[in-house]
Amino acid sequence: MDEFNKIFKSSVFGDEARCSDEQDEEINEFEEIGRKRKKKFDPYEANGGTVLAIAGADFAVVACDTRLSSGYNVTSQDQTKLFRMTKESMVASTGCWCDTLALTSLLEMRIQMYEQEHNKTMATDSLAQMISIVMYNRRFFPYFTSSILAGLDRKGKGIVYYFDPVGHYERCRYRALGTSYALLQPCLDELLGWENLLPSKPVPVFNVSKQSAIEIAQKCLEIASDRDLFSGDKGEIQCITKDGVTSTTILLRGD
Amino acid sequence: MFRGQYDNDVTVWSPQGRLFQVEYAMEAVGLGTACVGLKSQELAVVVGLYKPENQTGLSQPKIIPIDRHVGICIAGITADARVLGKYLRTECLTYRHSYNAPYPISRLVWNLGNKMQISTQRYDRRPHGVGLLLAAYDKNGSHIYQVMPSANVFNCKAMAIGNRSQGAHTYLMKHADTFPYCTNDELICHGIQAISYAASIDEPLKLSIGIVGKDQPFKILSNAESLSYQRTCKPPDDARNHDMSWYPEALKEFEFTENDDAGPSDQGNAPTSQPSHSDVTPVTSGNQINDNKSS
Repeated sequence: MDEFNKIFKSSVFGDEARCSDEQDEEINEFEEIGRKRKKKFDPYEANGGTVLAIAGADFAVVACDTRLSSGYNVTSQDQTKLFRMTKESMVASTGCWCDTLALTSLLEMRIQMYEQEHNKTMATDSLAQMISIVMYNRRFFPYFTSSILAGLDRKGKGIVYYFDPVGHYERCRYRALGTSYALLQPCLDELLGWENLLPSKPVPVFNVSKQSAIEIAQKCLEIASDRDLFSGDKGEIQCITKDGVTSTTILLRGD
Repeated sequence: MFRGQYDNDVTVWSPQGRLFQVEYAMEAVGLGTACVGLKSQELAVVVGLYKPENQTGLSQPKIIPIDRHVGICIAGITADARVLGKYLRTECLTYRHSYNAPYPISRLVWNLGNKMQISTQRYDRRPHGVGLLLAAYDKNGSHIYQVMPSANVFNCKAMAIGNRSQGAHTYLMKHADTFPYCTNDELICHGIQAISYAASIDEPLKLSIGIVGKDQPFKILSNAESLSYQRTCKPPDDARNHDMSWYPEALKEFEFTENDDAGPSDQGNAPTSQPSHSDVTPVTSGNQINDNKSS
């Protein structure tokens, strides 16, 4: 509105008006900004963190760091960002922590309803579609989370989906999200085969072994904790196979 | 007596102070096949007896899982049971979502009873024609609740409802003092033996067994599991032989023997073996309950 007023006044009253208003604005500018900040309520908070996932031929690896922060304060050093959904899928979510909790508890409810109605475990691709719909329903006040869904598909192959805050989702072989996304995604590209390269490099799909996927995830978390302020403390890596879920915890930088 | 005058509406009392419509609704529970519920310190078990299958028909489910800590076994009008099951499921789910805890059972059945009472007092509704046996495990231990169309809710040590359940009921009463100290396998065996009193002799026993307990989310045993329990927990021979007089000699050639693997169960060889009023023969392999296969 201020811009409009300026332009309006100068167009109507000419240069004289503009000069005097500019002077006034210089004095009042900081006061105004302060007033605006005090009045405005921001419903979102960035709680930081990193999540990543890698899909293999018959497994999926999901990893996260365990730091929650608020501004420059650490609110928790031991909060996992991984949520078990069904026996063959997990959601890893970072961004605004309150939205993460709301979204995952809503999803758990919907999954229980599905399983009671259909008498079967919800397949990972159906779950991905449902997450997308749930998130898009809040298109005009989104769940401010970047999430990853990792698990096994109907044929038992590893599968990773990533979601943006309004529910757009895509299937991929590996993905990192969170505050250190820009650091980790190029690393994963290099190690796991340049998914985004066009024309596509003829890299064999799903040739990463379970052990190396876990090591890659570990390395990436260490990279993230080294350079990213908002990631660190501990790292949790879970590997989903048809026989169950195995968990590894590693220590990361605490500063 | 003058029943005909006072039984058209659920809102009409008889001169003796009875609501005939509600009593008629209780009769509907007796139309369904038998259900048995019993509990020990750490486990609650419900067993439902299936009607013998027709050539083409499939049975309706006797046991409905409600939540991780509750399940019900139904006797009566299945459609009414489904509606109640849906109500219970919704209640448990929203409670779990709001409070991150399982719905305490005594409150759940209290609310269910209140809901069912409404339909016994409105002129435009009828009572639910179904009896439920609720098996649950919460922080107060294991529970068996009986819910009837009269909206009465009873906390039971053990209970049998449905068609021909008197024999099962007598069995449960006889052994009720031993139930709290039974192991899980023994308890399931007691349930199978109790319900065999309600089964007809010439049909193989087709059961649905639901268990819930400490560290055991509600689970309906798979066919394989329940058959293995049936095989090892032979019902006492007087259960299915109690009325031998009419058993035609001709049918004996169609009996299943113990070596016959074709039939779903081997309970049919009763007449020729010695009656053994044996106690429960427990299964010693403890792995059956805790595997995570869901059926």
